[in-house]
This record gives sequence, C-alpha cells and structure tokens, in this order.
Amino acid sequence: MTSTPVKPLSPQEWEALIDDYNHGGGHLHRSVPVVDLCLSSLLRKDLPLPLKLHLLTFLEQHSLSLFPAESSSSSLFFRLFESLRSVIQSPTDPFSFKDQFLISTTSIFILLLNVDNNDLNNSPLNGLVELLLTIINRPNHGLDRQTRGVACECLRQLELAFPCLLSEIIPHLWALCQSERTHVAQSYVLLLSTLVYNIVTLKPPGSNIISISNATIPLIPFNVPHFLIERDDHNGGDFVWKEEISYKDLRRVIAFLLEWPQNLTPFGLLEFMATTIPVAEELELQASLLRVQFSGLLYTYDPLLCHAFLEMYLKFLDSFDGQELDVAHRLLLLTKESQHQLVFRLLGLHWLLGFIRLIVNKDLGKKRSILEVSLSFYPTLFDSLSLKALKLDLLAYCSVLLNNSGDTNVVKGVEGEMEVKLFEDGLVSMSAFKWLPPWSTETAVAFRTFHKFLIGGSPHSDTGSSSCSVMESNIFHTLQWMLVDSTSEYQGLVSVVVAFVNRLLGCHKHRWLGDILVETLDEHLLRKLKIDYRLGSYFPLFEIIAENNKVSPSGLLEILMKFLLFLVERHGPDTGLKSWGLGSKVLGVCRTMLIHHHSSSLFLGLSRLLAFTCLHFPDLEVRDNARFYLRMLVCIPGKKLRHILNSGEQLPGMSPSTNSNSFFSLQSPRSSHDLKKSRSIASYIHVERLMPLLVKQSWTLSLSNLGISSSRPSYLEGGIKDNEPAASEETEFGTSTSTDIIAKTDKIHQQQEPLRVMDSKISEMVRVLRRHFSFIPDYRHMPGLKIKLFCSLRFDSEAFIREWAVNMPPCNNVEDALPAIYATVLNFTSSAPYGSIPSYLIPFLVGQPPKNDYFSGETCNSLEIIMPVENGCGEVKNSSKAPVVIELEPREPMPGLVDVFIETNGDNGQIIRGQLHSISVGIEDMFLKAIIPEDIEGEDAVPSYYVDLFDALWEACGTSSSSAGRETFVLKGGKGVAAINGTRSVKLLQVPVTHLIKAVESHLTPFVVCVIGEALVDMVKARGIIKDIVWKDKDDDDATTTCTPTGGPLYLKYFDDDHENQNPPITRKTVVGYLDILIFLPPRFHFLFQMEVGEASTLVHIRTDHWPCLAYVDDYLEALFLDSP
Amino acid sequence: MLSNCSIRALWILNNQDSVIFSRKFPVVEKRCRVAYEKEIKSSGDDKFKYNVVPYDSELAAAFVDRKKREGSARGYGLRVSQSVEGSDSWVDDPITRHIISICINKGEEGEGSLLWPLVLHMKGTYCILVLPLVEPHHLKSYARMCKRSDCGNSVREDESLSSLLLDLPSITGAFSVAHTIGDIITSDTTEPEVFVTASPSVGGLLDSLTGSIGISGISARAKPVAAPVAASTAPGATVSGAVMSDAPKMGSRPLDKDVLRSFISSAMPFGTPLDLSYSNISAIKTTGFSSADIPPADRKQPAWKPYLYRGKQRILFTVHETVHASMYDRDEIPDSISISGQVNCRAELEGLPDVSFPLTGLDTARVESLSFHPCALVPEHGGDKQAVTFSPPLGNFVLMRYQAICSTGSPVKGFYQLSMVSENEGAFLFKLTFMEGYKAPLTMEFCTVTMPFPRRRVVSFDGTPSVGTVSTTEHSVEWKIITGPRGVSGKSIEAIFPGTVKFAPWQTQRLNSSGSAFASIADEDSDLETESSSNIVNVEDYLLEKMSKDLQAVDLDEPFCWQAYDYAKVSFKIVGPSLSGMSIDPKSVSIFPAVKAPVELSCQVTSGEYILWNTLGKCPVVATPKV
Repeated sequence: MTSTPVKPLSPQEWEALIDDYNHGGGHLHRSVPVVDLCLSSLLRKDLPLPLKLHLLTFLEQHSLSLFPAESSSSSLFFRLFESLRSVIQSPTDPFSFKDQFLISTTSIFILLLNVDNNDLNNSPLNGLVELLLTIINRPNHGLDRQTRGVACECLRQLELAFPCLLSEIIPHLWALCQSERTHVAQSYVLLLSTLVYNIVTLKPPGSNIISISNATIPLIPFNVPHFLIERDDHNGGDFVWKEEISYKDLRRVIAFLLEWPQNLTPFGLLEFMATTIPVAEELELQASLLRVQFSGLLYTYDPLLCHAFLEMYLKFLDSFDGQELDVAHRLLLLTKESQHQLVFRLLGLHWLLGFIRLIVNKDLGKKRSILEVSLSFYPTLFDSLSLKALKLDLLAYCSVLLNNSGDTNVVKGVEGEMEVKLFEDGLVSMSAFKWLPPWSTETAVAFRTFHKFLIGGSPHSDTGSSSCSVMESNIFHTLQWMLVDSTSEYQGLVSVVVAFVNRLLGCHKHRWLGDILVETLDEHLLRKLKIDYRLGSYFPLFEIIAENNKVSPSGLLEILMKFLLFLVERHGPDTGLKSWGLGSKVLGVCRTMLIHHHSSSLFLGLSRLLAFTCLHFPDLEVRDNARFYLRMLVCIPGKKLRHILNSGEQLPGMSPSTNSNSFFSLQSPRSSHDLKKSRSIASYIHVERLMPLLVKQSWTLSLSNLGISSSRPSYLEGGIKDNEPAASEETEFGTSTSTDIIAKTDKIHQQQEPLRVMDSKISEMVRVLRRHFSFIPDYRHMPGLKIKLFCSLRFDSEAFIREWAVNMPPCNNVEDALPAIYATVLNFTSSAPYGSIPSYLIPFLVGQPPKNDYFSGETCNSLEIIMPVENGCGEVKNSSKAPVVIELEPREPMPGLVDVFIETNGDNGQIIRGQLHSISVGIEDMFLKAIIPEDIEGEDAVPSYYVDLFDALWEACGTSSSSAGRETFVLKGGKGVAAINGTRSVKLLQVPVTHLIKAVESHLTPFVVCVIGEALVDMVKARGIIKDIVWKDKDDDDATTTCTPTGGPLYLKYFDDDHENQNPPITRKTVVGYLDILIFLPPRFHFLFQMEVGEASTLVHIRTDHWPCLAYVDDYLEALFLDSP
Repeated sequence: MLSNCSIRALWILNNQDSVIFSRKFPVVEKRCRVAYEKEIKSSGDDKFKYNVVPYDSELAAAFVDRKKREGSARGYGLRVSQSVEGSDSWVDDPITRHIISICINKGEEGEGSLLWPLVLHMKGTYCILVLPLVEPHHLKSYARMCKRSDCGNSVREDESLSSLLLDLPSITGAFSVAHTIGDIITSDTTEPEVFVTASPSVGGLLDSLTGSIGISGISARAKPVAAPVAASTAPGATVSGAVMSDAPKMGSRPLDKDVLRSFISSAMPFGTPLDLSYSNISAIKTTGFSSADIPPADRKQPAWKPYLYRGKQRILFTVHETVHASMYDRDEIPDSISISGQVNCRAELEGLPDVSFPLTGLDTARVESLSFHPCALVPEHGGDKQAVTFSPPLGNFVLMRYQAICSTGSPVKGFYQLSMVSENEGAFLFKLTFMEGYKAPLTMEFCTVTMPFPRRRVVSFDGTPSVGTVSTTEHSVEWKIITGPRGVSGKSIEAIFPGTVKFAPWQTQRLNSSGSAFASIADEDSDLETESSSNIVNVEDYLLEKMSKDLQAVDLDEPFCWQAYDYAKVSFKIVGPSLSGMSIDPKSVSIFPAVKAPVELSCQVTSGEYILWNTLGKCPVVATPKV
C-alpha cells in the first residue's frame, strides 16, 4: 500500500481519467494509485451517487490493468471486499449503489481469480459467496428484493465462471427458489437452473451431493468445494448419481422449472432455456413436454422468443416432426409484420431460409410442402428493397429445389413452368431496373437476383455438380433472353451487364457461365442493335465479346463494319468529334480482338474493316491508326503481335487497364504530354523544302466572295459544275452567260453537240480544247491531279538529347551515340485548298551529329538550306536526313502554307509530338505539264500537240466573248463540265535576252512548247537545254498571225500602255523571237506566256483561264528574271 | 448449453464518428477469451487469434475506415463494383447493413483483426454498436464468407449467412439491446397508446403505480406523454415508409449517460441481458419497494411485473389499424389494400388475474396473422374462434398484432392522373370517393391528399376542387378534403379536383457521388446520348429520360425509388369500428379471479402508405400469387 496519501480526485478529474482509460490512454496514469483512490472515493459520502456508480463500472472494466498481476493475495483485493461489506451493511447507502458494488466486485473476482492457480482457496472468495448467500437467504423480504435478485445473479455468474462452485449447497438454493414469490424469483430460478445444468453436464467428482432435496451441509459458512481446489483428478464423467432418488429429485427440479417460462422476461427465458433444455435432454424428457411449454413462443411478436423457440426446435428436429410448415409459416408472418423493425424482418427471412435448408437437407420429402408455400414468398409492394432482395433469395432457393428435383411426384412439365414463374413473378417487383438509371438500387438488386437464380443450382462448395444442369435449366434460358431483350432496349444497362458478366468470368467455378452469356449476347444481341449513334454505348459490351476467344468475332466485325459505314455516311461538320470518338472506339475493339484472338480467325474480316477505315473514314487520326493496325495484322505474326499490343499498355505513365480506354491512353498519353517541350520541338526538328521557292510568298489571295474557298471548299471551286444540277452559279461569275449551258440537264444532251454556227477554225479550236479537257480528271469524282513537294526531315541531336534527357550509352562510334526517332508520322494540314494531305511515315531517323564533330562546312545552317539540291537528297549516307514527300491535291492553284505536325517515339519510348515550322507552297509548285492524251504517240506528235493546244487555249482565253467562251468542255469522267473565261495581262521584263533564256531554261524548260524567230531559235537550240519542241522561223507569218489572231484591240491597248508608261518602245525590229510557254495549273487551269523577246527587254503576254493566278505571276516573273544573277 | 445472449461491449457514436459512450463487459470478455484459447488449442490454427475488445479510439477509427470502404455508415449491403474482398458488401447480403464487421488495425502487425458481429443500429444522430459474444467458429465462418474470391454466394452454399444467423440468438438479442438503448438515448420510450373516451390518451406504467391518470406534474414521470398525433405514424408501427422521422425528438439534448449507465447495470449487469423493460427498470430505480409491496400469497409474481396495481379497476382496449394501399386504377394491375393492426391494452387490475376474451370473426380470409404479447397464453389455433387468455402486465402494452385485409372496402377510392403538357407544366385530375359503403359510426375525422414533387419546385398552381381547400409548399401540393372538427360520417362523399401545376424550370441535380452507392457503374459516355433527346417526341418520355439521368440510387431501406414516380399520398384518420372487423366485445371479457371491472374499447384507423399512383405514368408493381 502506498504510504503517501494521494490527493483525492474531483468528479471532473475522475471523468477525465476514466475517459482516458476508455480511449486506450490508461498508461498515462500509471503513476497514480488508481485503485486506492477509487476505493477511498467510493466510501466518501460527499461524492454524488452517479459518480460512484461510474467508478464501480470503471473498476470493473479495467480491473485487469488496474489490479496487480498477483492480485489474488494482494491486500487490494481484501480492501475491495471489505469496502463492499461495509457498503452492504450500511443502512444509508442506496440500493442501487449496493447493487452495483456487488456486481462490480463479483466481476473483479471472476476476472482475477484463476481456477488453475489455486486462487480460490486463498482469496476472499468464500467471504464473497457467504455475503451473497446471506443476502439471498431472505426470500420474499420486501425492501431489498432487487438487491437479492442482483445477488442471485452474482452467484450465478460465479457459478458460471467456476462451475459447480455452489453444487454442494444446491438443496438450500432449491428451497429458496421455491419460496421466493416476488418478481426477482426469476433470478433465483436462473441461478438454480444454471446450477443444475452444471451438475448434470459436468458431473463433479467426489462431491458431497447426495440429494437435491435434502441439505446435508449448512448454507453458511460457505467453503469452496474440495474438488475445485484439489483439481488433480478432475476429468468428469465418472460421477454417478448415488441413488436413483437423486434422479427423481432432478426430475422434480426440472418439473418445477418448467412451470416458470410464463413468468420470465424474454431474456430471462433465453437464459433459462439455454440451461434447462440440455438438462431435459439429459434426463430424456419427452419432447412433447417441451413443446407444450415453449411452442407458444412462436406466436409472440417478440423476435427473440421466436428465435429461442427455433433453437429448441432445431435441437429436437426429430421429435417435432410434422410441425415444419407451421414453423415456416410463422416465420414468414414475422417477416410480413410491418410493425417490426426492418432488421427483425430481415433476420426472419434469414432464419426462414436457414430453416428450410435444414429441413430439406434432412428430409427431402419435406421439399414438396415447402414448395407449396413458395408462392407466399413473393415480395409485397411496400417491402423495403432489402426485404425484397432476401425474398427473392428465397424464391431462388425454391426454384433450385424445383430444378434439381429428385422428387418424382412433381411432373416434369409443371416443374419447368413453376420455376420460371417464380423467377419472373419475383422479378416484377424489380422491373424498374429496365428504365431506371443503371446506378439505381433496383438495378443492383435485380442483377443480384439474376446471379442468385443463375448459380443457385451450382454452389461453389459443390465440387461435383454438373454444369449442364444449370445450362439446360429454364431459368438460364429465360435469363439470357431477358438480358438480351432489356439490353437491346435500354442501353443504360450495358455497363451493368458488363459488370455482371465480368463477375461470372472472374469466378473459377462459373467462368463458363460467363462465357455462355457472352456467346448469347454475341449471337442474339448484336442482331438486334440498331445502327445509329447510340451504338456507342454498347462498346463496353463489344469489348467483352472481343476479349472472349471462345466467341467467333465475325458477328462483331460485321456490326462494326456497319457502324463504320454509318459513321462515314453521316459524317458532316457537326459530327467531327463524334466520328473521331466512335471511330477510335471501334479501333479499340479491333485492338482487343487482336490481343485475344488468333489472327487467322480475324484476318479476313478485320483486314477488310481496317482497310475500309483507312480509305474512307473521315477522321485522319482514326485512319492513321487503322493503317497501323492493318499493317500489324498483315505483317506481324500473331504471338508477337499480341506481345507488342500488350506491352504497349505498360508504357511509362500509363496504368495498364483492359477497358476500352486503354486504346486512347496508348495513343495519346495526354497526361504526360509536356506542352513546353512540344513547343520547342520546331527549334531542333526541321522539315525543309529541297527546292527553295523563288518567291518568298507571304500572302495568298482569298476569294471567298466567289464561293471558291472557305464556305464551300469542295464544291464549285473554279467554276466546275456537274451536269445535273443547274449551272446557274457558274454563270454568275462567268463573263459569258449562255443559257445553252444551263439547258444541259441530262446525259443525252451532254453527248449532243450544241447546235451552233462556227467556222472551221473555231471548230478546230473547240475540238482541241474538248479533247484536252476530257483528259483532265474531275477531282470531285475521282482522285484529282496531285503535285508533290519534296522536302527533308532532320533533327539536331544535341538539342534533342538536352530536351528529352535521353541517356545515350557511352560509345566510341559517333554514329551509334546519336539519338534516333522511330516510327515518325508527319501529319499535314493547310488552310489553303489543297485537299486532304496524306501523312508521311518515316520509320527511322538518326539525329544530326553535334556541329563540332561534323565537318566545318556544315557550320552554317543557311548554307544547307540553299544547297540541298546538290547534296541533300540521300547523298549523305548517314540517314540524318529523311526525304519527305508532301502530296497536295489543289482545288485551286494558289500559294499557301502547309502546317506540319510530328508524332514520333524517342529512344526511351517517350512519345514526342508537336508542330514544326510550316512549309510554304509557291505558285510555281503548281506548275505541271499539260496532260498528253494516250493516243498521241511519237516524238513529233507531242510537241505539235502542245503547240495546237497552246494556240487553242490562247485563242480561247484571248477573247471574252468569242465562240470559245460560250463553249463548255466535259471533264474526264463525264460528270463535270468546265468553261473558259480568259483574262489577259502583260509584263515587261528589262533583261537581256541571254539572261532571259538562262532563266527560262533553269525554271521553265518543261513548259516551253514553241520557239519562234530564227535568231532566238538559233540561240536556244545552241544551248541544247530546251529540246523536243516546235521550232519556227521568224518570217513565218502564219505563226505570227496565229499567235495574235485577233490582235487588233490588244495591240492597240498594248501600244497605248507602252506609251503611257514611258517604256522604251519595242518595235518589231528589236524583237528577236517569241517563246510560247504552256503551263497547266491543277486542277484544270492554265497559264500561257508568249514572250516577245527583245535584245534588252522582253514583253510577256500572259493569258489565263483563272484570273486570280495573275496576282502571283508578277512576283514570280520578277523573281525569275530580275532577281536571279 | 444452448447459445444465449451475452454482450461483450457496446458503443454509442455520435454523427462525428466519435465514441460518446462505451461499456465493456469483462466477465463476458473472459468467457470469450477462454473459448478462443480453447479453439486455438484444439484446432492448431495459429493464424486465428483472440482479439480483445478494442479501445474506444481504435473502434472509432475502424468504424470510420469501414464507412469509407463501404460508402456510408450502413454500407452498400450488396456487392457493387467498389466492394473489396473481405468487406461486408462482398458478402452481398442486405443484412450486412445491420450486422457489420470492422477491422481493428493493430498497426505494426499489418493485417488488422476482424471484429464480427457488430450490431449496428442508427437512431437519431447516434450510431449504436453492440458486440455480442459468438463462438470462435462462427467468426471463422463469417471471415471465410467475406473473403471468398468467387462470384458470390449461391443460395445452396453449405456455409451461408442464413445458417449462421439461425444459429446465433445472441445477434437477435443484441438488436433488442441496441433498439432499447436507442430509444432511451433519444427519449423515445413511450408506451403504446391507449385511448379512453374521456381523455385522449392514458399514461404509462408510472401512472398506474401512482393510481393517477392524466394528472400533470408527476415528477417521477419518465417523460410527458405526447399528445396523440392524429396524423401518420402509428405508435410502434415502424413501417418502412418514405420518411421515417428518426430525428431526435429532443433536439441536440446531450446524452444522459447516468441514465444509460444505470439502465445498463440493471438490465444486463454482467453483460447478459435479463430484462430490457425500461419502464420497469426506471420505476424500480425511482420508486424502489416499500414494505407495502407484499408479494401475492398464492402465486409467483412474474419477473415482468415488479409491482401490482392498486386502485380502481378497469380494462381499456384500443384497436389501432394502419391502412396501406396502392391504388392503380388500371385494369391490368389490381389495387392492393392491407391493414396492419394492433390491439393495445391497459389492464388496471389488482393482483395477478387472468383476462380472457374470444376473438370472433377472424375469418382467415381477413386476418392473415396474429401474434401476441409474451404474457398471452396462445390458444390452440385454427377455426374462426379463438380465445385469448393473458395475464396483463402493468401499464400500456401491445396485446396483439395482426395483418388483415380490409373488409369494408377501401376508405378512399378513385384515381389520380397527372400529365405533363409541357416541360414545366402538368395537368392533373383527381376523382375520389370517400367512405363508400361505410356505415354511421365510422367517422372520417380528416383527410388530406398530398402530391409530392420532391425534385421539382412548384411555382404556381391553378384549379379548384369540388370539396376542400388547396395549399402548396415548395415541393408539394396539399389538398385538405376533410378538416372540420366533426368529420364525415354515415355518408360517402365524392370529390373532383382538376387543375394544373407549374414548376420552375428543370435544374439538373448534381449527382452526389457519396450518396449513390451504385453510381460508379454509370457509364461515362454521356456525350453519346446527345442525339437521343431529339428522337423523343413525347414530353413525358423526354422528361422521364431527363429525370432518370440524375435520379439517385435509393437506400436499401426504401421500398422503391419514390422519386421516380408520380403519386399522391392520402392521409386520413377514421374512428369507429375497425376496418378489418377486429373487435372485442366488452361483455365477453372475463377476468379470473372474477372482479367487477368496466371494459372500454376504442378504435382508430389511420393511413400508412396510402398511395394513388398516377394512372398515366409509371408505377411500381409486384406480382401477387394467384393461389
């Protein structure tokens, strides 16, 4: 005991200390002698009663930590007991304090005394029991009856903790029990029944019990029975009741006890039954006796009593044979009583299910009768969803019973119907799952029920059950159809169905069920789906089907194909994003198929699908990706392909996942996309033209008011018209308006020549032009004419390594140490009307070595740009430059910019993307040679054809209202027609003739069709660069007149102009000759130059059928002739 | 020994998830430890450990963890996509919302220890957790169940929750304990109501102890008897309805821990509950016993009747019925109407007499089930006639409960039609008949029809009913048909109410992710459905589509998603004979030993869920077995 007195704690301090202990912070108070303080506080008169009670329960709850380990002999223990005694004997302390003191002290004794440690003898246990016995030994005493009850309970707990402790004084207790008449008699009865139970089941050896009715030893003083202290031969079982009379006594006790249930509280009854029924069993009492006593419990509304009855019933299952239905019925009613708390109704359903299972397992014959009541398991409307779920479980169980029936009494046909009926009727209560949102609780319950019905016949614990029985069951068929139907009607269910199937697929036992469901969905659902944008929501399902290698992918491929067709057809300005998204999803499914199926089974369908996508899908990215997949499918063997696709999912920065999103994350890990890095890409990755432009064009002429460019990019460009629609728009901006053109409405007219008066010359001209135009493809209906820009791609190793932190292995070989990019894709876009520009792929490219390692000639970058024609293309063998070809299909000949986007992979697998510097396209890039008809053969025929064509075009463009201007010309393919609206212009170039010829030779050689004039012919011929053309003499009047057939107004004007401009007059004398140049501008226009070459200056007559080009020609000609050295 | 009920510990948590009260029962705990040690010794399973009851702080932390894992305090109850192996919802059973497991994390050991079964009861703002003692093999069994890696239990599984629960009365007992404690801490310990003609309601046990009825100002009285609320909820009838008013009646009154401690000490001194009758225990605590309380000479006094009545003798019966109806007015769906009733009793009789009376007219067609107070001696069953004998306890008690079918026809008949004429305007029509075929003593005291629109805001309303008055609240239109003090008796009335109601424009409610347990399985492809709206011509379909998109998943305790439907709710009160025909003839009530005591009977019928479904809309249905 502590010698220094500790300051007593205030009530608040006690509260805080107790809270600390409860929260696990008891160690904080280790220094405080808590028990001492407690005991002294308890005896203080000034503390409020509630606090004292609280202190007692505190002591009780924490006795194990508060009392020292060897406590049985400690003085604290005795002090506690002495305190108790003083309180009990005090006349002033309230009963509730005494009661709690008794309870807490008993608890502490029970907790701290150990039977095995010989504690019972040394401790004040005898004293405590004596005290308790003294209290209870006053039956029917009025005032302290509650305390007597408490003391009984204390004794009972001691007896439970130290079995048979009180066995030797049982006669006294029985006598007390018989005489007690107040409400605390329950406590006496429970004490007695516990005692009897212990004696009967444990059969204490060597005890002094001779009889229950005759006391041989006095109640007090109490001694712990000898056998509890001398526990050496305690093995039970060899105890035999000494005389039959004892058995008779026992029967009398039981008979006495069985009178009691009516007077017990429900919990008292539970305790009572727990001890009495085993004794009754031991005594082999007739079960009917128990039934009489306890069957009433089933008819009370107290769930606890019902449960108590069930316990007993299950123990005597055989004796209560025949009552099952009654019990089941009562349980059912319990669950139907809306007055009950929900949880008891739920419990009731669980008991019912457990009960039925027990019954059926024990005796299959009962099944029939259970099934008969199954209809009453239907959920009712106001049952909570949880109740409904459990009732559906019950129905599922019944359907299983019906299904695996060994019962021959039930007709097979009826069985099937019944089983499905249970399923369908039960599900009515959840039918809202079909239209409520997929996250609704109804949906969750419905699918849980599907699961229960489905696997009811094949539990996981059942290792031997055949899977066929489930598959053949009607339920399974019904369920399949239900899923197919409701999924096709309501797309919201897709995610739920997917989760459901995945749940089955994830189970070792029911995986096959999932497979079959997938098959069914594949077989039946796909056919039902309508091809429209809503199909997009079914993709999670498609993924599942695609993943399943037991299902043939043909059905899926078919529907995807249809869907793609639909997307292509529907594509318009509003659906761009949608097409991209859905197209990508389709490819995602394709990818899943590639991973999970043998390529052989996929090859035909998938390659068709991908090919179609490459060719026709409106979205560029989708097309590109489709091309990748197609190439992979065609080129890479299956195993490797799967490996590649799978490893793609483990790229850094991406979480591997199997759902459709993985496709997107593979393609564009946008999260890891570093904007800053990609902006700077253009500074070290360069794409450059091989041939620099003559004119650094910085502007383009946009003619939106003519309906040419932006508003309707693909139609009506340049005045082409289909035959069928009215050509009125053409006439709006055409200088010639002819109703004849508009009148052409069908093919018959088209073939007929318009009736017109024309002379032979004109008709010859028209014939030539007609022939010419008939070879110009109409890009609206067929691939148009393409021009190619040759560029190169290179990148700067040093900057690249710096930017992407590529770890290059230290290496002696300089080239091996260079970084590389792989599978580079260049995508091009342009605001100019160049049609769609295909991407360009570069499989591999090594970076350019750092400058200091390279030869000195490379130090100047500008040099490289200027020089590429000579050494750029493929001449340097270190692959640090890759050729790039940009294919344009111009809708209108005009300069413009092509934006270049790069997407490539670095050495470390980083995905690099970004925009490079744009490529500018000049008017000269548009220059093409006119198409030569196939039937023109021979060396001479071509030049003369060109001359004829030049003359005809010259004529047609020269006159605004001539007969040619009213003519229309059918384009290749026969669908479109074109008209010619010519414009003229002139340009004076003050360059000497030699210079001019040089410039023409270097840039316009292919387009020269004719040289006229002896002097010029000699000059040009001698240089030998321009060849295979028509040479004409200067004196040839024919030629001159041909060139200027209706020259009157032109010449007049030209002379006027010249005079006004103060240019040195060019007289015929100074003219050396003429150069005729014919340039074809895609898609169907022309430039015609007739250069009137003088010694010191040249006058260029320009004619064109596309007047906007004139805007660029001035600059071009100046750059060509004046700026070049 | 058959299993009994012992409680290892109980905790009360507030809505901030901190433990505000706890009680551990070390005697039970010791028994538990012994059982576990024995199990470990016999099975040789060294992984299985005895887990001591956690400290309050540990428990609170574990409870919060579970709440996070399971989405809410109750949890999902079904296996959903968020469910993880080893959690309650993995078991896929709604009862796991009530019987929960938590994992006490011991920190450095890594794997926490499973604590099961924790009985969870939520009352007011409190969470009550009770941990009953179960055998180690039960716990093992549950642990196996929630850790199985398969697709979920089959109904035929060898090891099932049903069998486990059937085997464990301690769980059932723990629920009784939890409910009683819940009632105490929210001061919801009213006894069942019994009416007499003179005063509206008669007090409880303490009144009978003092022999004074209705005298106010008795200090000992546990709680002033609330004036019987005429509307909705029947006493004790905790129907799983739309809105259970679980809010604490006394506001934010602090928990009276002393009351609770003393109740627990008396009710389950060592952790084994013996008597949960709060009125008895508090009477004993407050009044104690005097030498005047002499036990009866000839009979034993039942444990549930600590005091004997002294004073003027009489017996009061009140038949209280609640009518639930689902009125469809459709050919293909039959209307359903059912009655749940109870007979409350107050027997002010001296000594320990037996009371008996015959139950007549119990055609099995009408009264579906009968269940009794434990004090009743249940007659042999079958047939139309049954005699009930009971030895009444003190105070008011529910003598019996029954479920019945309405024998007099539905008190309110007719239809309700609501049709959305545009997105924000609905036209409706009521045509109702009240008390058709009801004879004179039956009086309808009041009747109100409410049209709730929980998801739309009522802006204005137009229309005049043929009878009664109309008022609107923000989310409902209320039509008071019968209000007068005298009610309607002996005649049937008809009422027509055409009108229109305008709503504020639809506002998309943000889906509260924590609120909807199953929301995560919603697909994310909302942009794909943009086209759908244009396809729908019908306004109603369009609205339905729109509304269902932000409809939240309902709690499993609800019967269906109320918000998904249009309906009108009828509430009324009828006095006079019961609708089911349940009645007690005062003359045939006999008392043994015979004394002269007047017998009074009163009867009242109130509406429960009395729903008129919109005839033009969707409605929830169930299949009714045709036997």
